[in-house]
Amino acid sequence: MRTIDPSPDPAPFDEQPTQPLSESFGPQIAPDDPTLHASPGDVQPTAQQLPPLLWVTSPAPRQGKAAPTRPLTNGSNGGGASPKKRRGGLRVSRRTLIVGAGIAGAVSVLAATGVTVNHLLSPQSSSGTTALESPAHIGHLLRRAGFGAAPGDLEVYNRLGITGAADRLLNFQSIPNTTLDQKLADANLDFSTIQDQQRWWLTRMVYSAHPLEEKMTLFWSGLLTSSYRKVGGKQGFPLIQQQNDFLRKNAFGRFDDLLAGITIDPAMLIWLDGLNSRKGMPNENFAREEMELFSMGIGNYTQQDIEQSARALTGWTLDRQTLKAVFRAQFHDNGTKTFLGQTGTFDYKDIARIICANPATPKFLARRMWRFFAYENPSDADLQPLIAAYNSSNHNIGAMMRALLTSPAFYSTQAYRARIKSPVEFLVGAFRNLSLDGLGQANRGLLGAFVVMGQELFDPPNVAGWPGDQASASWINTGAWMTRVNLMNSLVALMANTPSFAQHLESDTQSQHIDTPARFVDYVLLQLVDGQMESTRRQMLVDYLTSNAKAGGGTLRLSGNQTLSGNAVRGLYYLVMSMPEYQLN
Amino acid sequence: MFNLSRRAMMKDGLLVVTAGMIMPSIFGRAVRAAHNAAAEGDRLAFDAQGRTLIVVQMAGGNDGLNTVVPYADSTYYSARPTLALKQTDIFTLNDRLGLTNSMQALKPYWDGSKLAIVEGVGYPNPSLSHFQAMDIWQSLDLNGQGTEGWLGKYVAGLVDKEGHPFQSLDIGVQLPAALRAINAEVPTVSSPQSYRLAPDAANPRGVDARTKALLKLYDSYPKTAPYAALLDATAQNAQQGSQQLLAADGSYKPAVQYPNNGFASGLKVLAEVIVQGLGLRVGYITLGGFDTHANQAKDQPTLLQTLAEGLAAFYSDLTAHGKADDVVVMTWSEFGRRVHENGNIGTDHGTAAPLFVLGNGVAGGIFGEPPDLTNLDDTGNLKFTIDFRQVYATVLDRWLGASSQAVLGGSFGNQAFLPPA
Repeated sequence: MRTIDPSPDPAPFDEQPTQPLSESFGPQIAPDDPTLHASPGDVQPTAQQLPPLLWVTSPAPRQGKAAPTRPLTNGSNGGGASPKKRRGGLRVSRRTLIVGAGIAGAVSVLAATGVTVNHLLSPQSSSGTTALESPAHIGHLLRRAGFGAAPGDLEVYNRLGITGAADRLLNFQSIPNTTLDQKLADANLDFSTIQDQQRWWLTRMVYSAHPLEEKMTLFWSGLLTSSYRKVGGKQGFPLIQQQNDFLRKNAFGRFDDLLAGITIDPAMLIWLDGLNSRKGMPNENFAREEMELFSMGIGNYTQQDIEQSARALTGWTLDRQTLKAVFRAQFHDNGTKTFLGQTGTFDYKDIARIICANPATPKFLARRMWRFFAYENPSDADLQPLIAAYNSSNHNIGAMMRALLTSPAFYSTQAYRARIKSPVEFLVGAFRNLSLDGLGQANRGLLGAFVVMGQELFDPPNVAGWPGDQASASWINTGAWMTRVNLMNSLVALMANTPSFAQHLESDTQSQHIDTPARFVDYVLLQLVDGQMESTRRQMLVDYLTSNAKAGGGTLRLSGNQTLSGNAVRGLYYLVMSMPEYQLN
Repeated sequence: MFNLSRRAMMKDGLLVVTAGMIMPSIFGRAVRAAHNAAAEGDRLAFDAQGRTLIVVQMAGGNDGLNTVVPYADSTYYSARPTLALKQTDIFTLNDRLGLTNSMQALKPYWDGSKLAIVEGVGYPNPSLSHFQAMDIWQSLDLNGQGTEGWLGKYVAGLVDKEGHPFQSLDIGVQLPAALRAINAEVPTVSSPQSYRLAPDAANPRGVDARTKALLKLYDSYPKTAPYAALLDATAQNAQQGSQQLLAADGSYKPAVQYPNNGFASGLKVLAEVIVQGLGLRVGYITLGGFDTHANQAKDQPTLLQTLAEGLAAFYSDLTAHGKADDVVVMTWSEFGRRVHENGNIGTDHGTAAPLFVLGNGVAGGIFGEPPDLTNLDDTGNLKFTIDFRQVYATVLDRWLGASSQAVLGGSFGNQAFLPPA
């Protein structure tokens, strides 16, 4: 069962656990009041501790030289968008994005300056739904194939077009990752604690210049999964990171290598009891889940296949000193096995090979990937290109991902906001969108919030991984929702303590000539929800901002003479990041 | 608020497959009613006479043979040379069965005839997959393809004019499939103290305007947009429930010291909601870790002790508050375990197993027939003697005032562990 402590310290691997920690099936009860802190030791700021002036005001704009105001979007009237393209200005699509069925008057805001909008896709995709337009298609791609757009990302990826953007995401090896490397070098993490491992991965997700690499690793972490709660203890915890490294390294490789490798992965040998499975008394745990959950899915094998496979997998255990996987021939059953219709003296590699050659496997993988990256009810036609890519590439996962990321269905309105953000997508995305620091230094309260939201890294609820990876509605319940909203409250408190954030805002309002509350709302909506929001609801945000103009907390100077209340601006961010659209990916 | 018919929901491709989908039609009005009642200081006028069922999921597949032990059967000892519990490890229930000492905390309830043990519970063609077996138990579809949970169906059918946000409640972080419902929102709570919207520390005076704007953004979210019903109903229920829980939390004092673990803390939340009269009809809590492929001798007793001590504290607390007559607790696990132990001081996935029903209203004793250890199926597993749906039917018909036929979609008969309604 799960403990009430957000950061339990299970017994070391080489002792009997003091708590039953076999394959966990249970609730997690987590701590109160998650808060964000800039460093683990910090105390949550109180009102008294906050600086009296929360918003740094930059020098007044040079009025005489101010360029004529150019619309960021459709202005404050909520009506049609300007189609004009100006040099250094903004181009706005006329078409309104229809989300779901028939929302009239959705606001369509355009992305960044001078972007040549890429209309690679025909308006009608093969599935009959409407294709996404700029900037929604790039925002969508970056959320699904990563953790959302950091400032500047929309321009960079928009310029590349869909194919170029997919290429950049897939062929990341040559892209330097200097910011991340520096952050990790500075972090001084202790990998014998699970908290630091979680901080390590969160840091990777927030700062990596290879977002798809981290996203794919998260996918595998929920599929070929293990939990630190059974593997852990100070000695065992590093095995979890080792497994994560294995998944990252092989994330886009041959599935045969992934499946064989995970079979003798030390954390997996502990998690699914392989390490004690011996000739004459094989343990069925891994053998069953390898087929049911990791590769083919239920219905494609028999109990006898499980028993035969369990025999083939015997003999692998851990060296108690080095905790490396070792093969003990005397414990291996080298007799003849009949597995999925084939007969031989199979070992674990043969089992993986036979599974990977089974037609059920690419179907299973394609569906799992589609559900995770695109939407949850794919048609057979949606999956066919992925299955074909698997078969024609000698089982290469990268080829499947390319097929997915270049599929018209992936960029259709059917895919848009079709999944609820996972807790990790939600919070990592929020930090990325706003370019805020601090998630990598999450304190235990914040790490505990991931537990309450239903997704603690390295701790899926059971061997089937996170149910939300397949059916994202299960990410939302009242407790999880409350925690999400309260985290956004903590995030806007962090804003108040981050002078650079206010400076960045002021710089943007000047350079983008944001001169009214409505245009500021559009700026925020573009940053966070691709500018896609129904006009009457957008107006509610404008009303909130204007009716709280005197809410204090310093001021944010707009491009003209107007100012906004710092507290109202933070309130606006809270509202946008708590509202339904932002819960969706 | 709005009404979307189920047909409309199914028509919308966006809403078809997602698990846990819920619709707020009745619920929306109901919560508004509750809000009015609360505003009028009328919270405790909720129907405290109503009955409550608490369902405890023992996740992972509890080994029934080392829980309710067939101590007189030599086959048990030969199948389990290292794992078999000795006579000194159990207390006898009758001349065939004994209960593990790990569950000593429930002995007073057995002695007082408030604890029923239903033996051999299972279903035809058992699945040895955790996930398919759990789906079968929760959604009643023997192929594991069901989408609605049996408890969700029941809750959605409740006529609750008072509109209690907590007419059902899941303790934990993940709504179980048993509580998936159409037309009912089932809240999930892990800690009552953190179940509220936090104010902005830098601007505490602005919190009302901000919260109002937030709820308006949910209320106005287009009904045809993705996940509209789920998101709107969740936000409403969370906000209304948090206000009730906040009020309740101030005045509830547990009458006993609960054990210091997550399971017992969760039971305490359920007790609080019952004692404070927040209208709970179905409470749900999960204790996980029963998948004892290895180290069972160490792990399972700890879990069963956690279960028994938690339930004993819960029962005592309810008794002290005069609520024990209104509450019945039922346990379940997706399967029992293999009769023959494996080589790792553990047992692999099995089939039929006993479950527990506890309460003042329960007729104590053993119900059903323990499966024959010498007559196993071709996977080396027990053959069930009681269909799990008969247990559900008994609870629905005899305790929850429901028609089991309507909820279960068939007639499965009743057991005698509860008196006829």
